[in-house]
Amino acid sequence: MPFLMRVSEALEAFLQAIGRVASFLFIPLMIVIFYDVTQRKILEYDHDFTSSVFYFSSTKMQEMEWHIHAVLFLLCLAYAYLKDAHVRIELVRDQMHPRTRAWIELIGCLIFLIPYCILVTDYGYTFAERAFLSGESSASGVGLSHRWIVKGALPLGFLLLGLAGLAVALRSLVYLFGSEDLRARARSHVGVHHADDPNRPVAD
Amino acid sequence: QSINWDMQSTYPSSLKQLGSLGVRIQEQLKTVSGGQINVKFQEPGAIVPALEAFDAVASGAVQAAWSTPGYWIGKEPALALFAAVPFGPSAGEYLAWMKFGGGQQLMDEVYAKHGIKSLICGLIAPEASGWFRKEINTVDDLKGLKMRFFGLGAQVMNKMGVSTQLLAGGDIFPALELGTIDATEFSMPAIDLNLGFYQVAKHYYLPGWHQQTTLFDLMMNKDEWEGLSDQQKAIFQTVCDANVAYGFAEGEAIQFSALKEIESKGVTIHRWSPEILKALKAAWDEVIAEQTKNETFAKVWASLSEFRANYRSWGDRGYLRAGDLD
Amino acid sequence: MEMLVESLPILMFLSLGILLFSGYPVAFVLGGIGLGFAFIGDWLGVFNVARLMVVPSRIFGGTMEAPVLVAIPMFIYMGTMLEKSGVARDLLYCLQVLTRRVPGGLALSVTLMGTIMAATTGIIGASVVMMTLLALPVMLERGYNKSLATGTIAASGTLGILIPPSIMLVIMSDLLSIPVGTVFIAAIIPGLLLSSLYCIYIFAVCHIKPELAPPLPDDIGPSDRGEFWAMILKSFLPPILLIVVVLGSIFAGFATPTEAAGVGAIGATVLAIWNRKLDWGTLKDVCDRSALTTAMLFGIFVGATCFSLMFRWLGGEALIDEFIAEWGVGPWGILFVLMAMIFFLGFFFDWIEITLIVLPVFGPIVGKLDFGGHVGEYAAIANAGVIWFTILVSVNLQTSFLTPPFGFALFYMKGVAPAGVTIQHIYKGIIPFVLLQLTGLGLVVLFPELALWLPGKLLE
Ligand code: NA
Ligand code: NA
Repeated sequence: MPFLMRVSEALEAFLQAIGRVASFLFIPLMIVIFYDVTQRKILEYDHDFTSSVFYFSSTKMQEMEWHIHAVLFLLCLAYAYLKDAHVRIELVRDQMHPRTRAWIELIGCLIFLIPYCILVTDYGYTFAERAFLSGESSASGVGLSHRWIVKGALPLGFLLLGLAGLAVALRSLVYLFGSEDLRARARSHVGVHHADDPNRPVAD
Repeated sequence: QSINWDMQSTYPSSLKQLGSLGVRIQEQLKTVSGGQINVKFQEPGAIVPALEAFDAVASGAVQAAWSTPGYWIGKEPALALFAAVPFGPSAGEYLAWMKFGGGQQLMDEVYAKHGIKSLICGLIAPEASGWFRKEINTVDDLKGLKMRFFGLGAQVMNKMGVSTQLLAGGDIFPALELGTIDATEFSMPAIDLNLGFYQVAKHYYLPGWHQQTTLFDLMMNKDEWEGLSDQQKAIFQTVCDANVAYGFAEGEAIQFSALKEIESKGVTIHRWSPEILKALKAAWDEVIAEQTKNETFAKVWASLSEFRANYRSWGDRGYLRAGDLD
Repeated sequence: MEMLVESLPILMFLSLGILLFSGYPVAFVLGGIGLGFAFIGDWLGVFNVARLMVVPSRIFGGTMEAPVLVAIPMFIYMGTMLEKSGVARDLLYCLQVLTRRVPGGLALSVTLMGTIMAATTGIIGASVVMMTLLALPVMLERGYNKSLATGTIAASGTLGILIPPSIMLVIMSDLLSIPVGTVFIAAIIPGLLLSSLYCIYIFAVCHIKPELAPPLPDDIGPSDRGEFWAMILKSFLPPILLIVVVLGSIFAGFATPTEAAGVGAIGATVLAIWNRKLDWGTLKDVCDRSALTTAMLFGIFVGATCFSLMFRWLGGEALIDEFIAEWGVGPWGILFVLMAMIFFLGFFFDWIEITLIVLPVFGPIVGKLDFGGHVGEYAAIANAGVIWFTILVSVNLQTSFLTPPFGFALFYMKGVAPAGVTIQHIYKGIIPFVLLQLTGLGLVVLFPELALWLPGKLLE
């Protein structure tokens, strides 16, 4: 059990680090949008500007926007699960015993989350690979190339989410069958989401 | 041996020609095969979003798709040449190249790399050149314009100083209404009319130099196609050939009343001046020079160009031209 | 066996209805059920699991390669920044001072803001999340009833799907081949009608039961004119200016929602710096929170996409079509059954799935239904009947965001609501607003002029 707990904690530390870094993508996203708006609305078609190295075609900038957006939310899916930010319907959960919640979390990870992540990671990999092999670029003909990079974020995000599911499943196991002190460390996903449990260790 | 397929469409069924010709494939295949071939037309997004149809067919998850090769230039730039070519051939010449000038073989080669077999399965008459909020009198009027444009034509417009944006069919109207874009092209008059662009843009330009003829195709997963019996293949081929003729005839028949109605909504219908058309043509030549750096594109372009050069000696002489009797 | 195969879509409904209440995250329940039924279908020989290869395509085309959706994280960031830097709090405080004599003043301000946001974007996730972040903490602190507060925000946050510009109206017009401009104009009065119904309700209920929305006590607030104007200048004008610039630039066509949201996000950051409320820790916190919210929001989408795909592939669509065809008698009967069906589907699906299921099949039929002069004649509108029908569907579909168990607005709100707000509060809160929506729907059914009069006038 202590070993399982350590594995889960190591996994979580790794996944949370990725999520934290990815969350800063908001800043480049803002900057890209701002830059595009500025050059289109203010520096509009000034020849000196459009022929300089500071000019990027709007089509490319706008594609860069959704590229960043997609990578941002995909890399944070796992992080959000570890932070218990995904929405739950707690109508019945409120009334459940924490052990029951731990069982549900364990079973949910094993039959819902992990299989779905395996599916999307597996097919998503093929999906990105196809883009890589064919050298796919933007359908507009004037946009960004190397489409496989953003497509690759899809299986990557789901791989991370699957690992988060694994970490939480291990935690639930420890909570259900571990010793008293381990259980306290493992209780992040047996609380009620927002309400009624001010001592949730992971919540902030 | 009956088959039950899904056919992911890139256009909604309600769109005249673009959609209805796809629905017609479903109906005709069923009727002609006596109920043995069921290919279900699926609205965009029903199985996959419109622009994902290529991958869905290539991977075999969906057996077929109704689309135009022009959508897939990101996967394979050369496919643009099997859909619509700026300053390109009219319907007769285009079909002649596809069927007898090596076009179909080249298209088969290109699609085969992706595990797709495709039949040309629809054709429409020239598209219109676009809806503009302001009148365009000179080449300079185009500079700085924000316009929705798609495909090879977009690259031409870029060279003219137009900042082209990619908007999906449904996003165009609100963008035009709000002034986010100044102009848009979409399709032919009868189709444009239904989308109501006349409510917000009062200048409509013809001819559609960027799409004199547009080809549509029925894409099929190659393994599925090869698993068909000879009879079934013949049914598909026949239905598609008939659909091409049907679409062409229908497209030619419905435009004049649409143009009349567009005019009655207070829209001015313009023709591009020769000066602007020449500038567009020059921009197109630049685009071609860039595109032919792609090997496959160059090969297809060479075949089409050679065919067109040969065709001229017939096309220029065989047909009466406008003005011959003036 | 055959019966089992035919009832698979119904079983999908049932499993979703039950398993959502297990308390496991909604996003994963949806994906898991979709996948589970794919295996069941495979086992019964009616489906091949390998066809789920399209799931990545659906996620890519539906959520990743979608320029319009980039506005969502930006609005979330903007809302979070305004909240975390205390700007939102100060603003809401001013609003309370300004509306202290009006029963439910704060709730009315929220409805007004929801209506204005609705007229600029049609992005429900963004409106609901942003308004929850901005207004809910303050409303609760003020002692507002939790259900009234959440209901007000959820309902007015979803107006955006009805009041143009709206992506829903665009897609429906696309599917029915009617001019989207006409539909936009037709939706304005019904949209404002709903907004007014909300306001009347809030005003009335707060008048009757002041304890639901306690007014600001007299001893709180600026004590003299000088202090009052200082407050207005410092806390009211800057954020209002930001919001006006952001929403106004969309409204005036200067910027797309994504552009305006991006600029608004930068503006919110600048405002926080200007108020000396931004340090590295706050910025980190804002990014972190916004990322979690964004992931939560798109998580539901990536799960739901598999569920609705399997529902369609296992014959759910055909089942619904058959049901409507069998039960509808006469034009009014068909209309009633359709409306009831759409409302019911709203419990389980989001609007886009419902429109894809219902409209292509029934749109053409509705065009041919004869309501005996009820719709009226409008020279300027071709297909007046279809436009009217589209508006009815739209008003009806707005409820799908609000109706439990599967309601996007409820989930978004739950995801960012402060501690102490449970899903029960939210469920309870939306009930009066759903009833108001149905009242609005009934009014547009009875008086087609509500939808058709304005386009008839404007397009002449
Ligand atoms: Na809206
Ligand atoms: Na709902």
